[in-house]
Amino acid sequence: MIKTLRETIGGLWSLLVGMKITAINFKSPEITVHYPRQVVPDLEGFRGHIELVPKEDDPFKSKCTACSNCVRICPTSCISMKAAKPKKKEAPAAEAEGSQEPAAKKPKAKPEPVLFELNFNYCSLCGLCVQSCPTNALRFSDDVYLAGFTRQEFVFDLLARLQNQAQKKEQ
Amino acid sequence: MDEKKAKPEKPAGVVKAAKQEESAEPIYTGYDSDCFIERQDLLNAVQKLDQAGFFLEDVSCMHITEGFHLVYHFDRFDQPGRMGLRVVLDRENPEVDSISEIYPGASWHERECFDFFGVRFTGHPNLIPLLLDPDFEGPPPLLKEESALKDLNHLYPDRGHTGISPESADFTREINNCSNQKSRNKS
Amino acid sequence: MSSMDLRLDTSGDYYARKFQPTKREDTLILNMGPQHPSTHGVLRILLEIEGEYILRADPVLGYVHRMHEKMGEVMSYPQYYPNPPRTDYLHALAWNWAHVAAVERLMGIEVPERAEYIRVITCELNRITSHLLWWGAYLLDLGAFTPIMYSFDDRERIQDILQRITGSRLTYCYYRFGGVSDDIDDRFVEDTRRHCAVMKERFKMFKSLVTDNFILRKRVEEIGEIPLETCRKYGATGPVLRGSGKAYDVRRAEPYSVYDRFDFNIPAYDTCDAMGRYLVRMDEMQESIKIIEQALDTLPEGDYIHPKAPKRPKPPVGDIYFALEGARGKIGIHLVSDGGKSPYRIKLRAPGYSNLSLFSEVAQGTLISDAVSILGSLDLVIPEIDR
Repeated sequence: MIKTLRETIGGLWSLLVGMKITAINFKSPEITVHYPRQVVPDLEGFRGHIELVPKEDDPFKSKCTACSNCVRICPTSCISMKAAKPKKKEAPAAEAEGSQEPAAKKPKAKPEPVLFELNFNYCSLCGLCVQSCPTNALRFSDDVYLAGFTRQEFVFDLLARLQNQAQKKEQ
Repeated sequence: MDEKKAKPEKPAGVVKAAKQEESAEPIYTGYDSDCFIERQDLLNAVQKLDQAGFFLEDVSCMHITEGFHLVYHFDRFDQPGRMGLRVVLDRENPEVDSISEIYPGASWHERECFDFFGVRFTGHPNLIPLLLDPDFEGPPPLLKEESALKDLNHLYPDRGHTGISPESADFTREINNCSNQKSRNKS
Repeated sequence: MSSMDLRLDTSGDYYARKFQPTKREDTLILNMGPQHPSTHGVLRILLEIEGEYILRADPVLGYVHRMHEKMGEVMSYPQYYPNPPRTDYLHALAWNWAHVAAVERLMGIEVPERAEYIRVITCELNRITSHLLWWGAYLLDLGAFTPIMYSFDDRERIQDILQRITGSRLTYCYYRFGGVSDDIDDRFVEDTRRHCAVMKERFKMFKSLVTDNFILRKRVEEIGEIPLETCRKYGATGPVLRGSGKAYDVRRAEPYSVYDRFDFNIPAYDTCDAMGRYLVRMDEMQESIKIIEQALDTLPEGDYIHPKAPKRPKPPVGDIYFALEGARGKIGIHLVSDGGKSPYRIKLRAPGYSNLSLFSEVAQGTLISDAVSILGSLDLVIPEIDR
């Protein structure tokens, strides 16, 4: 009998303590962010998929020298790249593929990518490609709200993306 | 740096361990004591470890030219120190006694080895696939191709690969000296 | 047609048939999982029950088996970076560390002191997030909904801190051979300090809200008693072992990194029940905060990665076993190198694997609702167990 009574009192006490904490928290300011009406303000450090870094003097051209270090180090082989030397015979072909127009201007025949594709479906965001890049031509994008309906939408042509970004900047 | 844990001193009798220490390529091995034992001695040796208060960490298997190399990792709560028991199984008949009678926890580790390598454990109460699909057909997934296989002399150079008897004084000494206490004090 | 077949076939699948042979007519075979919410992932447990009581239990694994060990053999050492953190996604940094440290020790790569401190800080932060998630989810299993909201609040804040440095929120891939991938800055130190202070207050709230709660105590006290000897026989480690009264912690037993410089306790409770394991984890979070604060106080300057750390390591021939303390117990990596650019064999020891294997013994004779409590108190992460 006494035991039951004690248990009841113990239970009631727990209840009261719980209610008190709930009441305190009820008064405290809201901590949830109501997406999409609000967005999280500080997303520093977020690592989205990789993108190419433009040259300082020419936003239409990437810093990439087509050394293919990133292709080799990628654990899931999600980067595919084709390189070409703009001065050589492939140069016109490269231009036809939609590469940069001022490519032929360069006197030094430095190889540059004519195709840089990322299959983001397989990427595990380890960052090895960014770190292995000798010219710092890769960086993480900050598109947090990336979403799509098909797998094809996550195969990114990074050269085209660079062009788009440069165009947007010019406008 | 202090992370490099030197192996505890071995009595002069255990020549092969001392030899490995001298070669000094991998400084930290994680083993405070490890020895090869013969296949038929396994139960006996494990029994001795059980009496000495060890617990089983895991059973690691690998495919080598000679067949299979099983490493049983033991450690102790009270006097930490890792003991590795190495058993080599031949290719034609990869079979060894199950230690799940002594350590019931070994049961799953043995089932895993059976899954990945096809090693059979005699006396195991329930040797059925654990991690792999029971309908999985084909060779065990962790078997290597013939060209990729390495032998014991390649993987464990500068040491003997013949088993010592669990009854011998050497083995008892290995158990008694199995402790990382010394290196712990050092760091 | 096929539905007819299904109806007639009462023998179940392969595992159910293997589990079958029961002489009794009045018992029932019950599949708990693989989609049962209390199994935290895809764990299936075959139960033979008599009324509400469990006579036999047999976990069936392998629903999220990904063969990380084979992947390790076909990939080069740096390419394997993202894999170990994905086995146990709740304490990803510990797995990351285990892999990195095994290779470092095999090759004799030096790690700068600052990097070791950063590792300790981030790994302990990650341990707290892991325990917080366990805390919320376990109470959810037991029927208390509110705590997970509080725990997620704190957890998300820690993840914000870690995200700024590591770039990810869950499956961190931060440690590198010879150091870490990015340095920490003053803001990280500041944020961490501030959050540690907040957490200390929160623990008091957690205690009065949940730990002292009457209903919780009824659900965890004297439930799922695991004697120390059972822990030893099954190789259980971590909070499960410490909840059975043995203060065994790899950070103390086999000191790695700079853990020997910090003053912290190893909580242990010898009640052996779910409450013991619960209290161990609650205390451990506070100990982790202690470690973090000490590490922040004494954080040395210097490199965050060794300047001569190899980009494409080729360890010498040999094998190594490296163990460290994860949130669930002893994480071990057995790495065998044949001198090539990828391991000859890499074996991952998942602590949850050994911890779960004792379930069939402990569950015998308990109520089904208590089995849920026991499973939760083991803190299972199925992808880690299945690897």
